[in-house]
Amino acid sequence: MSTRDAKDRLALLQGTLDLLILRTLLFGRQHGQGIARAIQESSRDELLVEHGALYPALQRLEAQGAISAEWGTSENNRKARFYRLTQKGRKLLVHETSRWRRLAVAIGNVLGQEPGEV
Amino acid sequence: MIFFAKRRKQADFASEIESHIAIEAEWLREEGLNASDAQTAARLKFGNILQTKERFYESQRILWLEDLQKDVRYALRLVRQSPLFAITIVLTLALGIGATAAIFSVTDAALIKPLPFPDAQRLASLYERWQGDLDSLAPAYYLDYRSEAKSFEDLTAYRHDSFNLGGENRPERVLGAVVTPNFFAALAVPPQLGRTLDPVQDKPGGTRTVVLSYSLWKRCYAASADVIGRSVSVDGEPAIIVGVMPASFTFPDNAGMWAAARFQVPEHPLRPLMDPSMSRSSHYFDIIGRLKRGVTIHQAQAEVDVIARRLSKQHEDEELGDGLQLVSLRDDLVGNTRPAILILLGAVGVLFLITCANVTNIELARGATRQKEIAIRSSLGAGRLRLLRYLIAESLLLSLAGAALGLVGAHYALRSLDALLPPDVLPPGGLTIDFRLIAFATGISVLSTILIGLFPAIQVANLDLNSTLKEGSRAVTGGARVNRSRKILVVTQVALAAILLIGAGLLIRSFDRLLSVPRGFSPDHVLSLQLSLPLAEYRTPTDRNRFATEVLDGIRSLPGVRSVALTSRLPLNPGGSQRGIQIKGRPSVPGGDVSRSYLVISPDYFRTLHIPVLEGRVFTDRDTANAPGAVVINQAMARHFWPREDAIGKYIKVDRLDWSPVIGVVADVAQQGLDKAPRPTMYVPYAQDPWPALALVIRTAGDPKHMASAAITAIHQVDKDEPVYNLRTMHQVIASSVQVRHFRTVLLSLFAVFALTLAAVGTYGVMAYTVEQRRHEMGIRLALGAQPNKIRLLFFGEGLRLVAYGIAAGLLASSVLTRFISGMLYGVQPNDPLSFLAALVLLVIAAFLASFIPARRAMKLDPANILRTQ
Repeated sequence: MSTRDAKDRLALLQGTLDLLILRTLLFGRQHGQGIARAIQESSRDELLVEHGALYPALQRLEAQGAISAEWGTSENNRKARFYRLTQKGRKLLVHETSRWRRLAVAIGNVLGQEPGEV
Repeated sequence: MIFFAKRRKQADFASEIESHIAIEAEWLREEGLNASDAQTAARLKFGNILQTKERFYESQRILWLEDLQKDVRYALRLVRQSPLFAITIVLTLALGIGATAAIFSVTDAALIKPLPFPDAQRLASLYERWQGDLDSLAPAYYLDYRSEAKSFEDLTAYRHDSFNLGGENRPERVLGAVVTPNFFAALAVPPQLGRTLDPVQDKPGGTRTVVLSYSLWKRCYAASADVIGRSVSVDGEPAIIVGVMPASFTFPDNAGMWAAARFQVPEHPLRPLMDPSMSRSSHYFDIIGRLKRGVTIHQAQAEVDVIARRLSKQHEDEELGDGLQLVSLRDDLVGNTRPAILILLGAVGVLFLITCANVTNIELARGATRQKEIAIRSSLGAGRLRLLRYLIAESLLLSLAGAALGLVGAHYALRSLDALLPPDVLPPGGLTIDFRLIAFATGISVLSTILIGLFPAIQVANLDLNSTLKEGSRAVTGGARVNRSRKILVVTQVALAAILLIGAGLLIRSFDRLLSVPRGFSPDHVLSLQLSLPLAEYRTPTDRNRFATEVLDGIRSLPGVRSVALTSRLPLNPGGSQRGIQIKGRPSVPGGDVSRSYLVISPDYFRTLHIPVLEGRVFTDRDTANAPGAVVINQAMARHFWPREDAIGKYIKVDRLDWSPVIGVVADVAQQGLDKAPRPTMYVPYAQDPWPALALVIRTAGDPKHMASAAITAIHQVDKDEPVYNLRTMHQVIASSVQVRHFRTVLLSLFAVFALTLAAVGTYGVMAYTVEQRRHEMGIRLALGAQPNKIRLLFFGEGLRLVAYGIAAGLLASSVLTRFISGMLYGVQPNDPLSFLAALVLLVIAAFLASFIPARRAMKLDPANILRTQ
């Protein structure tokens, strides 16, 4: 477990959590805790997922039909609710990813080249 | 989406959080923490569990729906708290909505519902303009237009008729029509069973083919399918049933049967075996054309105008009208009732507005006392929108309850309207509550909700919490603004009621005038009935004469019969035969001088109906078939042709009859209707022109109704297969001739009484409330020595002032509006002072009553008591 202080971490931009959840689920079904941890790890501890935000986001995506959920058992034989990407979710992921890339490039252009990259 | 998706239980979510924390704790243990620390850390890390659960809950529920439930619950609680208030509102709304719905259904039946023919907007009636009137076309012209006018897919001709349908049991009188075979094709209605009439002309003299209506088929043939091809007796002749029409098809008028025309056009009723196709002078059938797709009625009119001009050149010597007139079938069928129904609709709209104003007033009165409640809710954090919704939910609940009750009322009202309404306005099957009516009622109840909810809502929006709560503590509620809007509502109500009262007054006066019009005959103790002799059985004049003589003799010998006579047409029956006449010694005008009303009667006709003989003599038993012709004329005819000379002894020639002398002049009889000027009329002895269609009038010593069965027996002794129909006393004949007017008058009077009551209740409500509001002030006044009488006068004066404003506004509006109903009036001017005065008096009495009781209550206040309690 990371020991980095929470306030050093980057706060998630509005709407990006959905994208990250979808991306995480691309590798297979996962429960809420697993999703949070996966995001944290794959962002090299830069991003912390607030649990208070995670579950409403999962709820929202489920309602949209982007993910589906069912109860199952974790690797430690513990009961957990597993989420899985649906066909609709895959499409949404592709769409959102390209949107995000465009946004990132656009913001990068506005901000100019990074110092030291000259 | 969320609404329909399967919703997750909160417990499910709670266990997901539990499992989340458990997994976290497990991982922490793997990282080296002990069990209880791991558990605590995991919980801490998760943060506020309760808040997450709450967020889940918020996201899952449908807020507005739950709020609505709450609103409805509040509203219901309110109803329980003040049931009288709720009942008043619901009843008022039920009356308003019920009346509106009932009138809507009548209007809908007459104006809105489509004719039961496909593409009905392409159907038009063809008429000939003739002396400012619309007349039917002569057969030869019909055939000309049929072959020449390119605007029409088809032209069909039909003649109203009634048939004696012989059955196994008693003969039946069936209303129907003689139609050209393309009749059903032109109206585009296929038969339900069998086929319609053959496109080929039925051979004259051959067996006729007939089509039955659904109701006749059910009534007389038990809806059996093997009726097709069955031979029946129609007017004494054999006929074959070839088809049955669907229940929705009863055109024209409530037709029960359609018989194929014998020739290219329907045969003439009096000369059924003569081919009339070449006639250019006889007018007796109606024509409907189906326009080709894409052709407008104006284009068709332009085309027939051209044809008409050419035809009038070709047939200059013939009698010809002033061109052709196309009328859309809808206008033709319902046109004459349209203004009356629109006016009723206007009246009912006014009534609806009064209802809403009244309910709003009640709401406002209570709103003032409720301001405190609302202020408290508001200060506890209820948003404005939330409060608005709460108020709207409440009025919606009351409106819908009112609408439901109103619909039940409308259902019963329609039944009685059915009886009041003239049958030609009614759709087949009568007036019913249908889906659209329910939708309509719901619609107007929503409208009323908006109208009613608006005022309290505005109040809420402008509510000043501080002062309201403070005011409430001092029990001096209701600002001047609210009071003003309540007073405006009362003034409006009174004004609207005044308009309706004046309208009703004018109609009542018209009706009264109409009934006091000299009728020219005495209806007391007279029974009438109708007969129609089948020409197949009564082929010759001698046959018909013999029947008439035997029937008259039979009835005359019955005990209780003073006298009996027959006529070709009863008084007060518009229409009838018109004949071209010539007068000896005067040049004849092409096409006949003027067509006059022409009646054939038996000698005792004038004596039986007590029609005064003014000059000369009337017919006797000596005026038989072979006696020299004789004519009796009415006063109008004498005045028209011989204004300055004596008509007696002058010679007249009618059609094929011989020159006949005028032997007597009788008083004018209201033949066409009470509101129509009497036409110049001539009477001819029945024996000399025996018609197949006749009516009997029987003057009795006692109640004429008791004579009915004896009269029928006497007729059946002469011919047991002769159906007797339309048995009515002459008073009933008069009543049915003014049925439409009676209907309008009764309806508008009901509205007016209703409006007056509502306005009075409204005024009372405002006055009672004002007294309640100013109790404190009055207590002080009384304590300081004011006279109770003065106090009473103060309130009394205020009530009267309100009503006076309303009356002034109502009278002013009426002086403009009554012009629109001038077409419905008879013998009174739209600005008839008596009607205005009567409305004024009624309103003043209502105002007096409505202000008197609250004012008296103000007078009886006990100052000590008031000041102590407040």
